[in-house]
Amino acid sequence: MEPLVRVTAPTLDVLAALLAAEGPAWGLRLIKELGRPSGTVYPILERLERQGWITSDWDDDADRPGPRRRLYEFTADGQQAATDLVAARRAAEASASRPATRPSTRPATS
Amino acid sequence: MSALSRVLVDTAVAVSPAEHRTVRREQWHADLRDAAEVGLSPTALAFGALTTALFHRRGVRRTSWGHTMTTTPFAAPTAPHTIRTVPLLVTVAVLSVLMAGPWLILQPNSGYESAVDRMIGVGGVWLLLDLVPGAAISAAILLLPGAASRRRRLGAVLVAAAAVGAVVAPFVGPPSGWPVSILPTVAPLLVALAGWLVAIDAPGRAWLLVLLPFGAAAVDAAGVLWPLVPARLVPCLLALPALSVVVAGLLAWTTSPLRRRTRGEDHAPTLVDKTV
Repeated sequence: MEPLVRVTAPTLDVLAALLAAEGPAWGLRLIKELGRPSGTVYPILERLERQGWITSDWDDDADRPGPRRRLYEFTADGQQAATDLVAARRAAEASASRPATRPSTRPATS
Repeated sequence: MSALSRVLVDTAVAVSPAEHRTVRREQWHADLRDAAEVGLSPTALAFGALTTALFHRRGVRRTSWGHTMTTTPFAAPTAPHTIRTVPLLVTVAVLSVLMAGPWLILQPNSGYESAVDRMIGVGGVWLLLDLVPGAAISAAILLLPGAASRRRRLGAVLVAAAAVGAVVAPFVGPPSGWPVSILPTVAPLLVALAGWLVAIDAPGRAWLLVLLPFGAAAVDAAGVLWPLVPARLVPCLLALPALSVVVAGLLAWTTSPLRRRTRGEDHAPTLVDKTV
């Protein structure tokens, strides 16, 4: 597995959505859940697959004739790395949302 | 699924690298079919597929946990483009050349009113007749599948040099008197054709095709066709020499060993119907 050179916000969203999915996730469902354009999500999925973070395969639902859906799931390494990345983002978001302690301009009175 | 969505997805698949097409075709058609089911716009989805195909062309190492695995070598991204991109770029070049005539017709007959107007008028001709076709054909050569990278680079450089040369040549001591006067027109065309022939590794006999631009430029310069064409459309004859290069290039392509190697590279399989 290769490390991600660029970890953009949409990439983190895709990773988080894949982590939240129970089992293989359908690409179109990810697009819907994330509310991001398919032109953003499709390339991210392809990049993650190219770099060995996820794998993909066809849906084997025999009840649905015609073209098959493409499903994605993490590789073992990818899942661990994604978990770390998403956790790091959440930690960063949490620290950013905490109110910063501003230095007081009041003179000390003691 | 609207006709527009289907056309967009088919276009997206067509411009995708060969190793992506099979998977993308089935995946995107399935997504298009089921978009309404999850409350997504099929047209927006199709546009997304098109932008993915146009702007994300690196090779994908397809993985799978099933037996339907579609795999490409991990080291594949060095030549992800396909022969379908090349006709697209050649078409752009031809359309650009063809538009040069109408552009000239639109120019004022009584001279330009300002230097800016003149610059736009002349610049438009340069762009349509030389620079855009040169850029498109250079790119096409760089993307030629199966061609040696050294040949592709040399060919692209020759075509780019020809395009720039075509703009510059008339300023460098324009020769006068037939047949020398056609040299500024012919020389860049010959260089461009040579670039293409080098890139596709054309056999020796294909080099005889360089006579075609010579003939076309001579016919154009002699004004032989002028009486045969309505006066208003005479400026369109300007495109003739450049088009002759395209024709020569296509004829040369039919003789190229590269063509035999790339033929049959990508035949679109039918979509899988699992009810069968």
